[in-house]
Amino acid sequence: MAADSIAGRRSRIKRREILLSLLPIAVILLVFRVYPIALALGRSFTNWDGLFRHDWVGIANYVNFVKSGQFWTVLRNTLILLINVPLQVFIGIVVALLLYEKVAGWRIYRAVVYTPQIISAVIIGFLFKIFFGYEGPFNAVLKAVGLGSMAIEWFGNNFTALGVIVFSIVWFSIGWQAIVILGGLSAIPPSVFEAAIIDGARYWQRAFLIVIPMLVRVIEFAVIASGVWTLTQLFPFLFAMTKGGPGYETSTLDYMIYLKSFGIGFSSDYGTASAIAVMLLVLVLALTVIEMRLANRADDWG
Amino acid sequence: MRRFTIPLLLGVVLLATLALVACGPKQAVKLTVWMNGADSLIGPTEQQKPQEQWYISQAFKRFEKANPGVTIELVVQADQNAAHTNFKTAGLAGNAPDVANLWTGQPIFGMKEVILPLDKLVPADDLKKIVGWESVRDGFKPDGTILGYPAAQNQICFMMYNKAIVKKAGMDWEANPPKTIQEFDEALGKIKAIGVTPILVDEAAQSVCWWLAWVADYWWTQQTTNEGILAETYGEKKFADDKGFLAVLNHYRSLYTKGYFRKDMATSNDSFTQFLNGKGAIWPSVTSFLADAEKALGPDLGVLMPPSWDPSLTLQNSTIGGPGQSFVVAKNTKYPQLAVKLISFLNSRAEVLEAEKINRWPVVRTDITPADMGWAADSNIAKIQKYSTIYNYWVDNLLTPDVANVFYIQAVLVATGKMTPQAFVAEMDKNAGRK
Repeated sequence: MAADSIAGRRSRIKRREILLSLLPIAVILLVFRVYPIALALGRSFTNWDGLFRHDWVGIANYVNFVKSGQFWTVLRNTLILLINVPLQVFIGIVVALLLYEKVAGWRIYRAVVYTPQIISAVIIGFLFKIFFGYEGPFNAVLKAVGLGSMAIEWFGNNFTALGVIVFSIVWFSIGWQAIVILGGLSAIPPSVFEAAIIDGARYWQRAFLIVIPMLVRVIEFAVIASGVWTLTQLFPFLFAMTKGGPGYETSTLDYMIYLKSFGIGFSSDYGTASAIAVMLLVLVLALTVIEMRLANRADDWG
Repeated sequence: MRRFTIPLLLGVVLLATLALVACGPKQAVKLTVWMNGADSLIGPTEQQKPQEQWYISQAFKRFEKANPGVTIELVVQADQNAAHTNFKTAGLAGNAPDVANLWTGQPIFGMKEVILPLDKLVPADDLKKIVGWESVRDGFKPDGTILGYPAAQNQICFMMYNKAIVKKAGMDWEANPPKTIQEFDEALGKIKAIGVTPILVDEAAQSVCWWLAWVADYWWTQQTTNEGILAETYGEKKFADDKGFLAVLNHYRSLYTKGYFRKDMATSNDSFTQFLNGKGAIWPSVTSFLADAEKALGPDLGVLMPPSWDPSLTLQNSTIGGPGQSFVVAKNTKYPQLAVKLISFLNSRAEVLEAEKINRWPVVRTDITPADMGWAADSNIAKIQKYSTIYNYWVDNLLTPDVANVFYIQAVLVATGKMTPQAFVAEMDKNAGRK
């Protein structure tokens, strides 16, 4: 009886310790994550203008935004820009493998490849804006080598402007991807590679049949992180390069949140901005779930 | 007798304390003022100088001297657009600056919950001698609540042009400027024929369609009138039924297709620099850029007012402009009278003349003439000053915020052919109706 009582008491103390240990992070999550999300969700059903107008409008903000011509344009742009994710992951893997194999000068390459990561995104945006400007260096080079017909207004239309933005993001992110993949590679026992070499596996066989299957979880992390980043963190690139224009030709869902809240015209339509934020959250969650399921299946294959 | 002694003594002590407090040094009063970093009482090149040399800093010192115990804190707002959102947010939190320099018209009408009405505070003399009160009266109505003061300078829209280029194209706009839209188009053709870009403009770099807002809006309002445009933006009429507006949009598109605009106007951001370097004939402008352009181009700089869309229309010999900037007082200020006194001081005849020593703008006072300013009769600024009382108020400031969003951001697509004028006006109609 006494032993039961002591065990029960210990169990209660243990439970209390667990709860107390979890409390700080639970409070942080509640205050900085759950509360703002709940607030945005609530405000997305109002016509809140940032001041005193916050009448309940039901799903009108969602319906009006989807019905507007802007929705399909920005959704299309958002999805097109996701092309950068496989590109940066693929190039990141190639670079990481080269660094792992310690090709000549790998220490210098490692520093150089990572350098864009320490430059402000706004500066990168302005650099690309100047570089690909109509009278910028890129067109000047094209004209100099006799390709003047290809010297176009790169930011003047949706297709080429998004292409330049994807290029800038990939250039910016390769270093980060390479470092993440390199970390994963370091966790693979060297004996695995040694055995493969003894068995006669060539470089590309080692890369595709050994390295990539063993890196599925690392690649999964890289894909999810860069996918979420693309959906939510492109603002400085877009602001510096195109301001989402011309028109809405390069605006994305997260850029629209800014335009609806603080953009030109003083509209301050925080209700619609909140609705777009909720839509973006749903998109991020959906893509993350799909990606995790695919990664699980790939892991099973491995 | 004793029972009265203690209360009597206490009363004397209380009165003496009150008297000492009243006679003591006055409590310091601090007014915080937000000022736009450009286009307002801070000129475009003033910010390159130390802050104490700016006109506004010197004006504040004069005010402080005339009002002992008052200090003024100047906060420069580099991003004018963001200043409005910041003011609104601060007003909501109850800590907005006492005085803020914001844009006139819809931008301030949209935040009257945090702006103090000034009807009972503005001196009658100011109402009489300052022009542009309609721009700060709620709804642009003559009896609308006064939400602010027109800022002490006037912005008038015009086209700067390079006289040397125009002369090379065989024209003399000083003697014979284009008076109709047909003559204007013909003149642009002549400039293009000599291999020079006729119009340099960055139509989207700051998410604002400058050509439409500064020049072509005049042709729109000539045909539709400001009242008509207000009815459209309030949803009482349709932009889609506005034939004048559609004609202006088609003309806007034709200027692009004929190669009269720079080809990359949808993405460029260096038109003013290019103009100063003689790379183009015309740059649409407002008054605050005049001094810099005169410094760069000297006697080659000319001023051209927009030609008439149709000489048979009622509105003639005018241009877009007026006090685009205002001074408002926050509802949360503790010193409303003092705040108005400061704004009135900045708009006074003496201060306007002081300001003109540093920056050159047409003025909003009726009791100041070009001769008072020391301007030569044939100077560019004197030509512009003529329009300071016959301007047509900013059309883009008439547009309600959601309509203005469409106008500013998507108009360039009409010029470059990515959107038809009909689709554009339909989008404006979709957003009209919210006051």
